[in-house]
Amino acid sequence: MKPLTRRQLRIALIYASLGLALVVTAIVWGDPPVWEIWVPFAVTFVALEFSAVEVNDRLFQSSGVMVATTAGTYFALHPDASAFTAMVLMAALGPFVIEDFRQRRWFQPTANFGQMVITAGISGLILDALLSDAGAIASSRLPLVALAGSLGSGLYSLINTMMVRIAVRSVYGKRNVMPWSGMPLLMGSQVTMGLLGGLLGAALYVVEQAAVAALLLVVYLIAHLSLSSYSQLRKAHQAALRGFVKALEARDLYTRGHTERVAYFAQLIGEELRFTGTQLERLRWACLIHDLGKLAIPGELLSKPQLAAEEFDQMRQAARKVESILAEVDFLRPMVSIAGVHYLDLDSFDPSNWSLEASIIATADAFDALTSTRRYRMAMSQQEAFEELRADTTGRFYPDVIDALEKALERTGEVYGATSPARNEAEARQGARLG
Amino acid sequence: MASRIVWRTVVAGVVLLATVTSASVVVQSDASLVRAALAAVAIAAGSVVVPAVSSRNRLTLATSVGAALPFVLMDERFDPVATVAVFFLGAVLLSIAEFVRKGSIRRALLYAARQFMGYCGFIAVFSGMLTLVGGSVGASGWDELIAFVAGGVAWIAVDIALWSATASTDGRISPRFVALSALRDLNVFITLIATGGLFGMMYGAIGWWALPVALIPYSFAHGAFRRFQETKSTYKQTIRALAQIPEVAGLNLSGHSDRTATLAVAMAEDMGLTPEEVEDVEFAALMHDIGHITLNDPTVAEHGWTREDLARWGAEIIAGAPSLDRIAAYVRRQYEPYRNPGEESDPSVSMVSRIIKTASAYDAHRMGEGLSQLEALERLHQGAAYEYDPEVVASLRRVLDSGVTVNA
Repeated sequence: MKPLTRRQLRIALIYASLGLALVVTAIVWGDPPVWEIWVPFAVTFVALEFSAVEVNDRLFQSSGVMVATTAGTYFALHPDASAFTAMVLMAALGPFVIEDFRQRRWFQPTANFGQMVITAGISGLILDALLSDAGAIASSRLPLVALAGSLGSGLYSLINTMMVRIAVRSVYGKRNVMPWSGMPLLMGSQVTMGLLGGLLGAALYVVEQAAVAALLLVVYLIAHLSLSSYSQLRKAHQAALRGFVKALEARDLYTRGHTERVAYFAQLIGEELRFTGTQLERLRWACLIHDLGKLAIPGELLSKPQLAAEEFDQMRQAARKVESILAEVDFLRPMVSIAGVHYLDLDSFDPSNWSLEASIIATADAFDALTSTRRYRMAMSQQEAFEELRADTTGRFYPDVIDALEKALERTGEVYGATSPARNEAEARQGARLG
Repeated sequence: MASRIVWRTVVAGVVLLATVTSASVVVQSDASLVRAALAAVAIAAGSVVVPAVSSRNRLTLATSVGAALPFVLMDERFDPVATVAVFFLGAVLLSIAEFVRKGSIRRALLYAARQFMGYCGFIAVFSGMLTLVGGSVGASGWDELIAFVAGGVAWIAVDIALWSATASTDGRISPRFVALSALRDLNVFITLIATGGLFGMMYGAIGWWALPVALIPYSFAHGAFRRFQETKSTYKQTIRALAQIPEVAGLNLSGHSDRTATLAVAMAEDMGLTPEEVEDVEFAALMHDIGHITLNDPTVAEHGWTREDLARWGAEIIAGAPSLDRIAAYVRRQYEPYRNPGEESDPSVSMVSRIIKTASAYDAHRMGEGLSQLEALERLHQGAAYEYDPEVVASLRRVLDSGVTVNA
């Protein structure tokens, strides 16, 4: 058995058996929920989990939590039911996503099952404890109930994230925990969603009609469907831009893969500097478009090692034109100002116009150029490339950024460029002879 | 001139009379006057304050206010006549608000009339179903919900029918296209009606707390709609920007793709294509000459190229984006003639490709060769039936006659 599989098995076993214990407890000792309310909620919850939407907006990611809190609040208030049972049973159905089965994954569904059931169970217990003696609540007490709901869902997301963290850390090692740096933001939105969910659940309890619940869930489902078509559209949009970038690179054998690598290096630097999801996304877009200006440059100029002053001018003007078109797209405008910098005349470089993001892209761009073989120059070794970047006196490459890249590459254990300076020279000589 | 004044007087008279009648109906009913006035104002305000995302912003929060009205106008009772009367007063206010915003009294009246007639359909079916299932308003039970859903369906049907009848007379857009676009807004419509129902059904039990409670799921949906719409327009902007790259590189006529797209979309709408097809036409027209970027390559210029090559290269670039493979296929076949002498036309060439071909040729004649509109059309007429699809050329002519402006 591979060590990775063993680690996965351990986590899956711990999580799933804890979860199973909770489900059994809920079924044997818990009060059964009011089924006509529970079923529509469970269906919605499962539907939301089934088509989990990948949106770069924390508020929308937590729609499942909100439905769970709404149901939890309702059942905690109900004298004959408990939030614990209702939420545990709901969570038990959530993690079985068809996609996982199709790809024959066993780890994700098992671990997710345990993780979601435990999370739901704990927050259900909290809601029960806070709200069980609320009895017949008047509508004037709705805000108090909502507050309890937000506490419950805050805990829900805290425990959830912690369990994911533990699992990822013990299975895959430390590095992959980096994307979770946006925690405070996530918590804030979860607590807000819980507040709203609590309010909804309490209102439902006071009205006590399944018909109202059905109407409520219809709106939820429509919102979710629109959200997933939005997310699809976003992916299509990103794919379209990527496609054009590929078309650009296909023209030049030597720069093939350049954009993807620059995007990767920039991502590494961004993660090292603890960028949030939104910042990383901006960086990715900026990298994607940073070379589009090249499309307008006459082909014969691109392959020349040395350009005459007027040729360089021509090249820069062509690139500028493309940039000005791209800047007409509202959301690309800030990215253009970050990315459109490497055609800049070095003499007119102005540090006050420079930003961290611009420096990241310039550094990633230069690093990739130095460590790749071009038509007119052989690749340098990684170490030489870093020395070259540090030796630059223009101030385009921030020392922090260079350090971050070096650290990140050390962590991933990747090495770019020629393997050693000596070999590099040998290759260069050979290249010169062949050329 | 005299007949116009007569018309205006008649319309104004009818509206005034109906307003007075509605007001008296409301006053004589059991409805509290404060609530009725509040509702009427809310209908007008709803139409101004929160425009939901839909085709030409035709759906607004006024719909939600209307949907809530049968439940909140009176406690535990429902009076269809009074409810309709209140909505009529609201519609009058709404038309004033529309007039102030848009400046056209005819459009404002049409808009308000459409809202009102849709609402009449809703109330008629709602109250009919309510008697049929023997339910009562205020219990928030399933019987009430069934009647509400039936009423909502009637509302949507009436609205779409009226919308496609009136909106298509504005320009020269086929009613089929308008109706199909309206159907795409179904999710927005349902959300608005459901939100109103949610508020109405909760109002009896928790009072004004129902407002935030009903608005929570709504704002959720609203955010999703907005994002979708924003992404869509961003997508289009991006495609348009990318399509201009060959133009700024000096490899194609400046502004050609933009003008071709404007023309092609107008033609597609005129010919009654579905909204999805019209969208495809726009994307394909914007990118139909993206293959010109390849001319930047010195080796290509050396070896020479044909129009088929250009179309193929363009399609290859577009096919780099998996979601655009349909568009790539349209672009790929744009060079093909309508039919060769002695042969039937090839049915596998899509209407989208034919429209792009014609629109692009028109722009090339007009802006590239500097021909007048008449001369350029004449050229296309000469090529009709062999090079160009005669139906498409006829549509182009209609579009140009209607005065579609293509910014040169």
